[in-house]
Amino acid sequence: MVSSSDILQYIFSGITVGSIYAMVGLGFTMVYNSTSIINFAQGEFVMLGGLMGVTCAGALSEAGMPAHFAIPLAFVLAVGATTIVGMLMEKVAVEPTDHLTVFHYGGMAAIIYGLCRVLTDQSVPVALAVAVILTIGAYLLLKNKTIHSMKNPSVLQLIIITIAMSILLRGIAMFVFGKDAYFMKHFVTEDPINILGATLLPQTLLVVVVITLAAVLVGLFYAFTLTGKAMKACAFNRDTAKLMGINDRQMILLSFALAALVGAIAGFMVTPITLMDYDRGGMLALKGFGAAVLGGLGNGFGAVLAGFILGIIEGLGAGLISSGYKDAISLMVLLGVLFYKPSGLFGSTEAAKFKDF
Amino acid sequence: MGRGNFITLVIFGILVAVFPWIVTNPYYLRVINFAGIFGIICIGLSLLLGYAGQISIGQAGFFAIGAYTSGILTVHFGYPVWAGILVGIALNILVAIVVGIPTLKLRGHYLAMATLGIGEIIHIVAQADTEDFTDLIQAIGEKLGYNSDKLYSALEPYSALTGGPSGLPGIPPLGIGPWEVTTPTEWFYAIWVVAFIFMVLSLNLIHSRIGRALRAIHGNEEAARAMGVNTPRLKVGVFVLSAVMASVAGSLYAHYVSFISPGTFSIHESILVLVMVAVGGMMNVWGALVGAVIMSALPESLRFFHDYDILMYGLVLLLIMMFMPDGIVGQIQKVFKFSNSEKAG
Repeated sequence: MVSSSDILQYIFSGITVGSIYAMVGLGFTMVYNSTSIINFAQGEFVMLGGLMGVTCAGALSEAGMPAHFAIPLAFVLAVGATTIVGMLMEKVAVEPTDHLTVFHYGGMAAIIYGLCRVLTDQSVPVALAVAVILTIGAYLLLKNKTIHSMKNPSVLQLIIITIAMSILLRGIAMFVFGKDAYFMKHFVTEDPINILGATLLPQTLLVVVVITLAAVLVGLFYAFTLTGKAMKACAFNRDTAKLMGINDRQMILLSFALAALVGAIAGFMVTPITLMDYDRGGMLALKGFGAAVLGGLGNGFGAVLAGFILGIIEGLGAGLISSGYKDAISLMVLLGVLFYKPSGLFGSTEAAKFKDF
Repeated sequence: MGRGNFITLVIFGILVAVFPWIVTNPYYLRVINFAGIFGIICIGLSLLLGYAGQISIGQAGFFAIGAYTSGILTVHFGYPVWAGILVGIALNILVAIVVGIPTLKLRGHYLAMATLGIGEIIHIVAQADTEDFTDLIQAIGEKLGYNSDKLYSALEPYSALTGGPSGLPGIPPLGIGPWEVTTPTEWFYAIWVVAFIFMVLSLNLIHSRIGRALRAIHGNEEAARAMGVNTPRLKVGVFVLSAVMASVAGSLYAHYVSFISPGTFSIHESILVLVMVAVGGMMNVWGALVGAVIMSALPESLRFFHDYDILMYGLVLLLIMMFMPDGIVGQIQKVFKFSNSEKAG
């Protein structure tokens, strides 16, 4: 017999994952609104936030820093680094350009360096030298060449590019962090709180508070700051926004930065509860997209709400039906939403049919 | 089908016919055979991606259904090989219709995510111990009030169908009656003749009214609808066709390797097929085969990548999509400016 405290328990566990889906969904929405692209790499931002957070916190603690300084500092470092990754991604692979920029050359140098080290086992200075020399050579060869393929990338092209970036980020994470799951100690006391027969981890409460705060701040940013309003204008009609003097490229860069930011926050906060490994991003992106669609693609507030709803459904499904199949259950909910109400709970059906891709 | 394509087809046919006489090394043949199997999946995906402009990241799911259906029916139920293949095709048509009809009404990224989801679900089901699955059904049935003993005995024979994570061994080789396909050379012909047939089919499709309608859809969907093109039905049709091809490839694969496990049917493979089509050139069906051969031969010669193949796929896909979005065949077409080039705008 399933008791009401069992159900409450399932709901509590669902809230934890739901908060991640909420943030991923919010990230999807922000990028989609400004570019019409579905950023398949969204889940990797969560993964990076978690893995970098563990690494930073571990390094700081080993250096002697006490936990209540180490953790917030690690938070800032990890979230900041992931945000930079998001911005680099936009600069290298998404932003239209007709020539190779300094970011492309930087990426080229990094790839050559990596290949030298991994394939031919060169030492660090040799690999660096080879990378620098080859990159300078490439620059001299290509500096006056126009690149047509990235001048006006189609949405289809960009979506596949984000798919490629998500695989790439996953591969780099596997290379750097290995395949093991990483673990962080809870930020607060580990004693569970007892509510009506169900146990609630204080960390879960912290996660929900932080994430709700982040979502609210993002909402306020969009609604009340000039930059936020500029981003909304850009999302609404890019050409008119440009005519109004808004730098659309900066706005798009900012949307990627924000998406990476919220993803990383979620990743960092939940790692103590759910652990984190290099491979999590894919499933998170899928379910986060489900949240975004369920909330009405383009509706940030809807995405956050839908994320929690999806998480609770998953928690209940895992507890009441089968925990082995819980992923399949949430995916079927996602498919159900896609099939029967693609406009989601808060969106419009017409808007679901007419955009670039 | 256009003079250029016809000539290429003839050359391709001759190549297929004489290849095993030139290359007899069984290892190379094995590589080319796998390339062919993936190539068949790629032909379907190329039609979907290049002509209907829809992304599917779930072809491995259709591949899996084809493989497991052939495997289960021949191993557990003693069906003949051709029956397994046909049932696999039928099943995949059903799944493609169920997934395609609602999502293809909308924009492309919905299909991308839906196919990702379906592929994952199929992977989870294939990987889960069927015993857990029958336990699950039993548990649900009991809750609904059915007799648990009767349920158990009814479900018992199905409790080891897919073999779960350890896979399904003992699949018989391809064959009809006394005649079986066993040697690498025989398999080469079995696989590449099928690929040839699908190429002929696809090229005819592209050069027909349907093909022109598809290109119209890819160019501008609203305009195509305004011109009377039945857009939803065509998109679903191409999607189903890609599923059928993946199904046949899956059945061939199952009979070729005689042992299938869920690890071969994950999103990894769906991405690989996407990379193959992108590398070869998604606007041209030949690109599918070119990409499949390249991406199958390359890892073999770059053995030292091991685990990092996922990183290489991501990098290759990224570089191709950024700097050579028309793929290798597309670049060659641009350079030589073939008069029959299939530029869908």
